[in-house]
Amino acid sequence: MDATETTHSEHSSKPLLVSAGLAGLTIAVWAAAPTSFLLGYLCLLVSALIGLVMKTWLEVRARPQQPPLLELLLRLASDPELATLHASLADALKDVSSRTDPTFRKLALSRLNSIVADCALLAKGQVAFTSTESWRVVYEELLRSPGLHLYRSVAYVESAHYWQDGPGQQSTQLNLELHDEGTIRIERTAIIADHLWPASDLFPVDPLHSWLDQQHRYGIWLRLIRESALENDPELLCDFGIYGTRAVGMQTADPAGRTIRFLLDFNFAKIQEAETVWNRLAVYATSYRDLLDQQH
Amino acid sequence: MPELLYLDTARLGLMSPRACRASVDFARFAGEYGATLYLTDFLRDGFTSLPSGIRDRYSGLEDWLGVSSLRQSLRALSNAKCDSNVLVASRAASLMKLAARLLVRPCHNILVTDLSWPAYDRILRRAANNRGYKVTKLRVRRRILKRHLTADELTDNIATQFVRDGCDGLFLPLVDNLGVRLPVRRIVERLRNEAELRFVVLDAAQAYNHVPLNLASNYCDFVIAGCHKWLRAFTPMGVGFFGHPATADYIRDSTQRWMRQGAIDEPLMRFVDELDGGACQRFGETVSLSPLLTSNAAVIDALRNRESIEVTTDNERVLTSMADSLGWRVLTPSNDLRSRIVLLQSPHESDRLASPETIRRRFLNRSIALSAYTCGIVRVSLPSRPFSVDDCAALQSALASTA
Repeated sequence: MDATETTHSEHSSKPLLVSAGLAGLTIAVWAAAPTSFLLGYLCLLVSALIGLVMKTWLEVRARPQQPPLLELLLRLASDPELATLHASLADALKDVSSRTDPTFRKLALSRLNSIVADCALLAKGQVAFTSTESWRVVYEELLRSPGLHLYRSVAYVESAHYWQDGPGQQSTQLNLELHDEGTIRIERTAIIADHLWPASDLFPVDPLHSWLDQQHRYGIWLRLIRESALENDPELLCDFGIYGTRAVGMQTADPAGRTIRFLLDFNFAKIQEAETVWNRLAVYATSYRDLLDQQH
Repeated sequence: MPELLYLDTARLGLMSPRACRASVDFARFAGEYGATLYLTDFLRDGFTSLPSGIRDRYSGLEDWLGVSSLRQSLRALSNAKCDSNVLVASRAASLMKLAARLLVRPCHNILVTDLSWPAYDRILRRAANNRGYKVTKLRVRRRILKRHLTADELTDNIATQFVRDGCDGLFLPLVDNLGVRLPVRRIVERLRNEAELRFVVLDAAQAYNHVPLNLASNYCDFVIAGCHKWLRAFTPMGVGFFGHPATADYIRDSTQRWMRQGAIDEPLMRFVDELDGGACQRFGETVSLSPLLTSNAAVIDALRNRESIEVTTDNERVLTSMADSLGWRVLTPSNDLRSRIVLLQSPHESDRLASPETIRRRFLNRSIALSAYTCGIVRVSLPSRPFSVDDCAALQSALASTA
């Protein structure tokens, strides 16, 4: 038994000793003293008890906040899934701290710092996917989630092969399927690099044109913007999707159209910001329908 | 018994002579030859595919030259371009369901008016409600009929509401069931200039072969019409027109896809497509073929007997002056919103309290067929031939009598 445990045990047994002493004294008074004295003695005890309770209550109230760790534990306790994770994490940290190898500690601290950074991002309502197409799993989950009726997408197309690889085609197919069955309504604004949509041409080059036309044939409302039209508003050059009023997904792609980073943000303020950009883009956009009109 | 003066075309038109012959001869053919290969050949390749002996006996079927010819005739009557698409369905309501699906895909807020046929309105609302879209209703009928709103004022009203409520879809009747003829083309052009109008569906149930549709000018995306009213095929058959270059691919692809998936279940549309394409589904549903033949015959009648607008104007003048002199209230919209349907309201209290059927029967007793509503209102569908002296006498007598 260590010193901390001994102190804790002493603290917990004190009230019992005081109670036992007072009880013994009361029995002695009851046996020896007259009734009026016993009554006075009991009144004294009750008054002292009320005074102590009030003092404790005022002390608790006067304390500015609960100790942070206690508050944290209480909060986590109300979320069983996170409480389990927290316990596992605490156990793992305890095991890490028990190892003394300096190289291991350096490596562990570096990895743990990275985990802390990820957690900090999660705490802000953001999820990042770097150099992976695995974000498309979450993308599908979001689009299929109940209560989502509107998906607005801005595609910043710098390659004719935008969304033409396997995962991209699957996402396109998902868009078409969900829009066609009426699960969600999809609208898309495509910002197209000028070399993919020369000013002299009515439509962008293939296979980009085919990609857009396929969506139009499914009833997806499309708007197109030449990149050069936004030269005075470069902050509008972005690639994102607004999932109803739930989240915004921001995509960064390489020149070949593959995802470098995808950041999913669940903050309402970010959704409002994205909606503002969406509305500003509409000012520069031409609907695909109008282009088809001009064709004839 | 005097000849019946039929003024109820807005409900169900008198069967046209060719349609009548086609119907009778097809019934006889069905009684004698049933579903033999003669029927298959006839439906696919037309009357000329039948052996001469049969042709001589069923001359009423001579107008049927196949589905392509039917589509061509329907197109010609609507002044649509020759490359526009024509859908044929057993019910116009099936086409309305298709139209509602087409509308709610690209649009999120569809503007309608209280001039829409209530059943169509319900179909659209159901499609919209299922998916969380919005239908905005503008009430204009009362202002059109009581305050004589002009076409310009109506266009202004619709455009203002459309822009203010952020609408992007439009569903309007070309002519409503009480005879208001909307300036749809003007409205659509105005909306295209002032807002983002994504898809336009028109209900031409009361307009087909009643007012010129002029579909060649591509002012709308999808039009629904029927054959049993002003076309006078008598047997109901829905017809859908589309050909706008911006949306024709979307409509064609979506319709085919939804038919394959079973989301649109329309046996006649499927059958006609099979006849036209040569493919045959082994386990397809048996469909009523009579509407194809009667509608085809009625269209040919309509194309050969184009009706004169002057006759209609004269008839309207005769009817309204007669009604006016007898105290009837003429509930017509302003001149630029009028059609061949005239509404009259009886001045007699007894008529206003009488049931619509009582009023209809009173007119029928004087050999006049028309529609009647509550509050002593009757709907007259003006005929394409001039009123005769006997017609005028019958009308005078019916309007002068009380319930």
